[in-house]
Amino acid sequence: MTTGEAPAPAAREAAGTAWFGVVVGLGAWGMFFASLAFSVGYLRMREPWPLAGMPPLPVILPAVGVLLLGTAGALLHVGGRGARVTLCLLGALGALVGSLAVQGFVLSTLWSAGLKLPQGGAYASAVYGLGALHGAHVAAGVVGLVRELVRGARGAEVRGAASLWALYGDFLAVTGLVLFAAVYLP
Amino acid sequence: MRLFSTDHKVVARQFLWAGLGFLLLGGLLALLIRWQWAYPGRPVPGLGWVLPESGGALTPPTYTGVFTMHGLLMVFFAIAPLLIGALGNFVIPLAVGARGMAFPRLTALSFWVFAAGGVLVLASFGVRLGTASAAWTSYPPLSTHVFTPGVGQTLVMLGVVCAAVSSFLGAVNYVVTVVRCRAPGMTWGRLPLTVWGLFLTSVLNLLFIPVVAAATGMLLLDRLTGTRFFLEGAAVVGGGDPLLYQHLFWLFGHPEVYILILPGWGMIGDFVAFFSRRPAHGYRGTVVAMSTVSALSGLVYAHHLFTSGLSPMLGRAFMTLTLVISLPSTVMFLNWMMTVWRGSVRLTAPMLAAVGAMGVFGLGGVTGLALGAVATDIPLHGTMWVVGHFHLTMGAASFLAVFAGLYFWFPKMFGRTLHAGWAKAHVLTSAVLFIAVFGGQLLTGYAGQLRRLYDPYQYTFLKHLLELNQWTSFAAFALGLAQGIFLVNLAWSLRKGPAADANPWQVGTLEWTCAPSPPPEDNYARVPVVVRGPHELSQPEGHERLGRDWIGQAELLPGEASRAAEGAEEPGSQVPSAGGAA
Repeated sequence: MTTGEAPAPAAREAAGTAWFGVVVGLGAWGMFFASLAFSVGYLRMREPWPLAGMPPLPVILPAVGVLLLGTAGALLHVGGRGARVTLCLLGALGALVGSLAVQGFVLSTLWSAGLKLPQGGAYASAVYGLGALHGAHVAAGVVGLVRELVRGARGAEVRGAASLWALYGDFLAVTGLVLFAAVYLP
Repeated sequence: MRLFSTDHKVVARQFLWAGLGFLLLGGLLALLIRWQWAYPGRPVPGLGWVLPESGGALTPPTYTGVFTMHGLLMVFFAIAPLLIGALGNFVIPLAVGARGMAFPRLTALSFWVFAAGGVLVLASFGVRLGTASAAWTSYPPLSTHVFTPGVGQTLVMLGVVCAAVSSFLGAVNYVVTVVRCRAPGMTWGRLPLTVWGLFLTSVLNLLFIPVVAAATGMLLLDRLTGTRFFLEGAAVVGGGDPLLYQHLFWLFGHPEVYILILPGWGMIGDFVAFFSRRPAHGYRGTVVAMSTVSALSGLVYAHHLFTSGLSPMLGRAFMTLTLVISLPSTVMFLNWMMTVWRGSVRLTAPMLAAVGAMGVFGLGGVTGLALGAVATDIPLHGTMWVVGHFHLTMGAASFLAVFAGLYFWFPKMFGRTLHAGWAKAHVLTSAVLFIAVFGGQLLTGYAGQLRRLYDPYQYTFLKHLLELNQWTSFAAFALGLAQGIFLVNLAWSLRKGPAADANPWQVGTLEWTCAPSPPPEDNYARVPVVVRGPHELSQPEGHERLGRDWIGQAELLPGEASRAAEGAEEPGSQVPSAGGAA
């Protein structure tokens, strides 16, 4: 299909079905992160956050990590519309890797500062456990984007896939924001 | 049968065989529990080679593992794959007039993730310290590494995560297929009630499976990585809270009851119409009632926590919501009975199973009212009354619904006909014995017997229940034997059953009227155009113009053909049928 050519009705319908499936799937999987956020809220209601003697949590760097996730989603939306899709995929990949790097830096710094498991109890569990679970989702996005880049390099059409991955980018940004608010904000 | 097929009918059969295998295993474990309550500590005949150290007797740790795995296998690896995986995968695309699932590869993936979970669960039986033993609820701290240090508990929890992911993938596929892939003319008001049941089940799966995945994920992190979400105590400063797990588990666990019965409700609604030869009474009311129950199911979970220190204010709110759920259930029940009322009832095996499911679910629902009210739940909580209640709803009703569906769609699924007499004998004996077994549990619970006791008769006040428990166990053994009728019938029919007609039940839904038995890979030679609802039975125009008491969903009556020709759509193509219900 050349640029500007209208997709055939069947292809358009298949693309619509794929889009709807991804929206349903990701929207529902949001309950996973809602449950994690509920859990942190439940634990935070029981005692001070952080407990006395435990290092406080940074705010700026985790916020930067969430911003990078949002950037990845935005770039993928642009790529999905057909503008320099390879460049957008590369940019989004860089943003996701950057987000993982920022998160890794934050967690390793906290570990060095004495926030360890299991001594850190529920407080440290929320920071590391939820960070790991969300990080695993970001890593899945990295793998997916690398796959699309490889497919694109082999000549396959990846704009449709990029627009679906854009939804995943949005999902990562929104769930990252929810966990940031639940864990890192005082 | 291609092993990695993406054809929904092949995947449905894979779920069927796997589910039946796990049902057999879970059922045998149930019989072991019943043996222990009938003859505490006495060696189980034939089990000496498995438990040589005790001479075949169940020791307390073995017994704990047995009842844990019975529950887990039945809920996650037997009922769900049979009712949702097998019947859902088979029926949905055919009944909505689609050529297949919306995402065929996801269909296959959902089965293979389930199979991986099954392998993990089976492997747990062979590891040191044995399989999981923290009950099917896996409550912490019992399920943490402190109390169940063996790798068996970890393997089972990973298996449960696999089953959850499988259900989630299947649910995405079902919802998208129903929303996006319906045949032309298949409006929401023309969907068979079975599809409505499966659709609502899928919506609940989508909403609540992620919750149990999160709870199990955090529990696994606690076991494996040193986090402390659910562990607290002297050794852990600022530790987590085991009660948090209960909130998360029951937020999933209560809707799970409806997840496992909604497809059955849908089937009952269809079958009472089909086999009473009457349109379903109050179709819209039944759909609204099923949807209302689904919506309420997520708002009632805390009645499982009445005795856990929940605020009395919250207890009252959750009690009210729990009891309110009985109103739409009653609407549905009345609609079923009104459908049968003055109908031309045909007591086929699917109809008998559907009526049996109605009966046991009604009994389970009524006994559940006592658990939904705070005042009566407090003395009954943790007793065998709870076990009897949820076995009637989740066990007996769900399995009778499975058998109803399997007997109904077997000819379409395999192109062969089951022996009708054996099928009826199986359904009737199973229904009676279900009531005997789970009724016995209700009685012992009312008498105060706590659930999960290794030897209840260590307590003086429970000694007199030995005889009642023994009779209940005899009924359970008979129930196990009765399943032999089903297995023999299944094996015989698959090999030697007569070839099935395209529409042996003489009903009008698409799978029976527009596809041969079994259907080809892409289901329909031409995608049908639906022109009417699923229960067009005993209509005067059908008698007058067709000379029969049913009209196909895609069938145009002689007078309607000219009107359709004026429109853009072509009429649906009917497959010939000689008729003749089994």
